[in-house]
Amino acid sequence: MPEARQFGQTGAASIDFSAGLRITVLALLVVGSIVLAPLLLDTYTTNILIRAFFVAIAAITVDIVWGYCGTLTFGQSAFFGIGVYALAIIFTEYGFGSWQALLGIATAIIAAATVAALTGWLSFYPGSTPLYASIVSLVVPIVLVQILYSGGTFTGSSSGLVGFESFDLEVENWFRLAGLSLAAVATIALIIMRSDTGRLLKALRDNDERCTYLGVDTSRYRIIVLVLTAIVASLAGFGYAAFGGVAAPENASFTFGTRLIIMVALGGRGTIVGAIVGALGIEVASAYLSGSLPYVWELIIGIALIAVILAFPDGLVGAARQLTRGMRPPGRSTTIMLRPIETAAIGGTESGTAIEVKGVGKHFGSLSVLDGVEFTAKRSELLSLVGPNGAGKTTLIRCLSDGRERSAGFVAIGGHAIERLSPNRVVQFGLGRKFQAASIFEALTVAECLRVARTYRARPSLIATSTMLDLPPAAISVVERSGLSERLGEEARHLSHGLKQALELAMVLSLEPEVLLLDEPTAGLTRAERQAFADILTSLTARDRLCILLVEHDLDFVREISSRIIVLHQGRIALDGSVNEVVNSALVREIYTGQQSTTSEAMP
Amino acid sequence: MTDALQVDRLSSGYGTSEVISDVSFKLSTSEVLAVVGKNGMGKTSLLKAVLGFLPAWQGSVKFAGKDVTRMPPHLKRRLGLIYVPQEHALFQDLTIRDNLRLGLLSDGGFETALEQVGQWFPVLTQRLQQRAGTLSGGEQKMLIVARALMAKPAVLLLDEVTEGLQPSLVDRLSDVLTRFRQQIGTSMIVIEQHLPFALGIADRYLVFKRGEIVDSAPVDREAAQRIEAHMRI
Repeated sequence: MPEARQFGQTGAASIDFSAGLRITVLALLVVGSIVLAPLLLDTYTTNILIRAFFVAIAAITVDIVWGYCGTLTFGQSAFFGIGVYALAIIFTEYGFGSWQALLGIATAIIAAATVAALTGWLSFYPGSTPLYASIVSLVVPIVLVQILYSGGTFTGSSSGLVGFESFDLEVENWFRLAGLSLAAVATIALIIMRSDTGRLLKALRDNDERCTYLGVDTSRYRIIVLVLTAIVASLAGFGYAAFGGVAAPENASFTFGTRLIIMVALGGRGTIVGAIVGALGIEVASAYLSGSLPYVWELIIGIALIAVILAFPDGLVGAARQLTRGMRPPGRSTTIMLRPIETAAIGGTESGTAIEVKGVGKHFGSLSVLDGVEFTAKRSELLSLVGPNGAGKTTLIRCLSDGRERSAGFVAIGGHAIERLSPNRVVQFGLGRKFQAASIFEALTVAECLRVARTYRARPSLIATSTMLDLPPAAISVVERSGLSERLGEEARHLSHGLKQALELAMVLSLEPEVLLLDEPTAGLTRAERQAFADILTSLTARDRLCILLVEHDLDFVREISSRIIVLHQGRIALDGSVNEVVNSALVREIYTGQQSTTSEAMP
Repeated sequence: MTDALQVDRLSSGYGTSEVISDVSFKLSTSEVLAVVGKNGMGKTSLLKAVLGFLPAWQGSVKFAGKDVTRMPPHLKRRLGLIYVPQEHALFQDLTIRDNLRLGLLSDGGFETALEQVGQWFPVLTQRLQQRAGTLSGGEQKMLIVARALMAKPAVLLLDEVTEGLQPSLVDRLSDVLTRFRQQIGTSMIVIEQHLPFALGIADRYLVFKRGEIVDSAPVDREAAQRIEAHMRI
């Protein structure tokens, strides 16, 4: 058993116990009130609340897609509508019965999942923007409503479907069924969103590119989330229609999709509870106001929304949290154990070529940024890449880490040709890339950032929040030497520039790479930090046998740690040689000691 | 003669945590002040508090004798207090030319200013129609600096301006900045980890530690040694 190092406050056990007790009491209260409430409420309110419960389930799915994963979606109404119409069409066509009910549920699930998968594929292709995904989500309900309009008697066109026989349940039991379903969906959503998988979703929202370069197939995760939430929304729609006995095109409309967004914004996005508060509040208020103030109620709701958003940008739940901040017991203590992975494959065992580059070029139209770049690098080699600003250094790094970047040539990492593979696939050949400006997950804690970095090696749990952080020794050594180990529970955005750089390096090392690409890692670091960095890099090449390709302007730094230097000038390799050869060359003196470097006269 | 900038007992921070504590200093016309210290000690926050991006909890900021503590950053910019942030704060989808144009408040003098940029960083004026987002890291840095200098700032706040620049350009930048203070009397606050650059252009330095000034002296031969000693602790 490897030694585990513990950081943060201890005494978590007693807090966990009281937290467990609180949760049990809360659960009993919720279930109890759902079961007993219909005995106290009048029929009208009960009816309204049943509908509101189903709508709240749909609102939770919007909260997950928007609040947690960062895609503003207008399209969840379409999936709700699919559930509504799956039931209405099948009960209208085939009558009511148990096989019809099962067929209805199966149809709702399959249709919603298919449409969601298709929508997801269209929305989240590599390189798409969140705005693009929002627009696709806007199109889906509009298209669906058009299909419903043109469906004739099959879909009931604009008047929808009514008069079909449905489940014969007491209204009190409908209330309990809907209420408990909502409670169950909310509980599952809360557990998943607070688990390690939930952290990963936040990481996707925070920094998609970093996730990709940590070997995470971000499109796949986003599509899976969309499909799962679509299924839940369609089941909510199924329940809604089963209770109401009506299917109307409005149930699938873009207007309803927008109302779901308003509910989540009003209640507080990214909280689950906020989605429920917003949905129930708006549904109940609308039902009462639309009776007594038939024309102005929408205006009232609109003004209320603007007032709430202006006063409490985090929604009602966010505002309540602010108010009760001082009164609540302190949050869960962040006891995190760092544990080195003994079997870490870092550095591997076999020797040989780590990077192979042949005839690589990158062209933008007639502009050629890289041309005919060729070199190889072996394990345990620290290769520095120097050259004037705009020589193509970062472009070369991109071409090595993303198969879709180069216009010509061949690149192999660890003996595997990267072909046209996306960065998350290239990472699987043993590549780790650190960006020029520290690319981390600002909204996550240091420990969470490191855990997300392990996603590709260790699948995150759907339920649990681990307190043990298993990292390869190289990553642990960076965490400890930089002092990050004292700040594991802190949000990464509060770290200083130097610590952010160290955190990103530790995250990349958590991938257990064989090849490490570092783009100006010491920029903005103090001399002491720079020295520490040099020591780390030296031990990575010596002890862990990594191949490191380093882009750097500080020639003293380069001289101290490199085994070889490549000079890139105007997109071509101008020199490739030992440290002494390169540092003393005329070209490097010209670039680095201040002669004009805008022309190629000094090319050797 | 009034000071270009006068910061008096300034305190500021994020949320409830104080990152700038009771900081006072003066900057005379055409003076260059280097602010040095380890990362995470509040150097950038100091600039943000002076500019008004962080609210002043206490104390005051005077610009040319006028109290500007509560003045929003964009109005300070109009008075000639210009900030070059560490991040690549560019309009990525606009061309180099459009990015530069936004450095001036009006069209007047733009062509002349552009010629000057051509003398400092020819690589920029050779590619005026290129999108800023397609520039390399170092080129983006040049563009940010050029955009700030075009406006002929009265006070220039530079945050890690040499980061990612090739050494010969660092030297050129140092010449350009020195000429600016001599010819139009620009005062500067320079936050730098690149000590030779900072001490090469500065008259005076401040060592910043946990939101406070722990040392302040004129730049002389021993300055680098004294600063390194502070950074080790």
